[in-house]
Amino acid sequence: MNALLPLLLVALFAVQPSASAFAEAAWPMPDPASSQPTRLGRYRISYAPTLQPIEINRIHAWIAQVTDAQGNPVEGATLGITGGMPVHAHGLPTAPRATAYLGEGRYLIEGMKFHMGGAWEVVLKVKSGAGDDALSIPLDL
Amino acid sequence: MGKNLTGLIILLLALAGAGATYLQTPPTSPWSDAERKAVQSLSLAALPPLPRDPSNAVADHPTAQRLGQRLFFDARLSANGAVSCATCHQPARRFTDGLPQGAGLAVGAFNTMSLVGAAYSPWYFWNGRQDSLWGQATSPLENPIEQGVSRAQAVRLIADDPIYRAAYEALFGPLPPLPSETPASAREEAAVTAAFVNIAKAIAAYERLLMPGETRFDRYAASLGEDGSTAPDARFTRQEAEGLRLFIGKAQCINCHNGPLLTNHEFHNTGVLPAVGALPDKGRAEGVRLVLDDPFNCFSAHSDDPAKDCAELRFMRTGDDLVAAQKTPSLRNLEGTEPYMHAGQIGTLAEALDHYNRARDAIVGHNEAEPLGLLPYELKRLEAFLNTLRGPLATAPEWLAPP
Repeated sequence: MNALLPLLLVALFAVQPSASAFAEAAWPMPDPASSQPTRLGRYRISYAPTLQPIEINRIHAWIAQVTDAQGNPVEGATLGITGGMPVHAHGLPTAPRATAYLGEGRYLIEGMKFHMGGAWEVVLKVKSGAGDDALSIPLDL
Repeated sequence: MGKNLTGLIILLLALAGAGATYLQTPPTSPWSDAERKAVQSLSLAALPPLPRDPSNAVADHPTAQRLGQRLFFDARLSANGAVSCATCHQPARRFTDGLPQGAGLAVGAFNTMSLVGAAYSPWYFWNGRQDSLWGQATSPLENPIEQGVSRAQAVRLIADDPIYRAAYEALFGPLPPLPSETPASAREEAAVTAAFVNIAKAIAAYERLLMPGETRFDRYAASLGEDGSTAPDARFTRQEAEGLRLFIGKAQCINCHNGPLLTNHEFHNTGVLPAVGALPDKGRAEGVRLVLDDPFNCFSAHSDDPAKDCAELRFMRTGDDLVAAQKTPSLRNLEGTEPYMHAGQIGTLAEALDHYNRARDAIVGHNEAEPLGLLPYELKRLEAFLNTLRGPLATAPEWLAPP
């Protein structure tokens, strides 16, 4: 059993989802031309869902590209994701979060899901040296 | 006299014809593009092929399907030799049992959920306490009020039955030696658990075959033209069409009962009262905790998926609004599956519609639904529409009985 322990540990770590494994996949590239300024104008964000068009009831990921107001990539930011249906006063069915930094200001956001058709709002909050700011993204599904 | 009678008959026939024509007329106003899109989003034609289940290596293996079918109907997989999966999941009742709460070795606390189309769901049980079809299948086997066998007893049945043994070993390799004395060593127990999980994976392979078939609604949706016309053999009565219009509109049913299976597979508190004499169920708030702790969840070593993405589990949310939230059931094939709700609290479709129309405050947590203010004739229309969701299973009859 003692001899097996290191093997078990290796096996355990080998099955942990790792950001590097995800980074190898071909992620969609957000189009910088579609970027929008955050509420206070501190950042610009463009995003690309891995599921296009977005379908209800399917969990998927988004790539968000964050730049400063001049268009320079923002590295090392902390992203928060919330959202919901304003008319129904409920949130997302999942708890998505940024799980990896993919370079050039691009962040992988996993766990996106919408469980009803209608008007949704996704809020991306950015925290970095340049200050806190947020972008509200309306979606009609 | 004869002349008068003939005249009367002609008049009656004309009236009957006019009545039938009136009942068959399409909705008073044609569907808008958005409405037609919503209608067709509910149709079986929009159901994608069943996704692979990488957590179950034998999920689509014919030998596993056959083995699973035998096991599903085998009452030897119970402590008293009288309860099988099919005791509660009866093929003739759309894989439910017609009881308020399922009854195996004893009466449980929950209404038996149908298995038809269940393979599409990311969550199992009313509170979603399991996250795979095979994980689900382990639970009733061991539950002392359902089938109540030990893992070793289940594996012994496989070892002792030549048909089972041959199928099992063809799929999974040699059966582990069964512990001869109790307590078994940790290694023996782990081997028995692995074999027990394989049994559940074979049952899941069978359950993946249970699929809903085409209904009158699906034929209607498929033939619905831009002008609201339908094929002659796919017509809805005005009552049914207006019920459908309410379903996707004013009555807001489609919010949760969406997609081709008419469920979003999510959890909602809709203010359903507990069963008489029962404490309120904690619902999804408890399910979240249980699925994270479950030894057979997506993260577990028993999953055959080397990637173990487990996105549903990793990004599962918590929150106070999940208290008393239960899983949205499919609305396909409601006939013969009453009573409804998580503990069978509501006996008929009319009562279920009345429940949502009133949307009273929940006694635990918050009722997400809001009063609809529908009039009795509108509720009748909704009921007429829901009855168009009856249909045969898409599964071949040979799978709907013991082999």
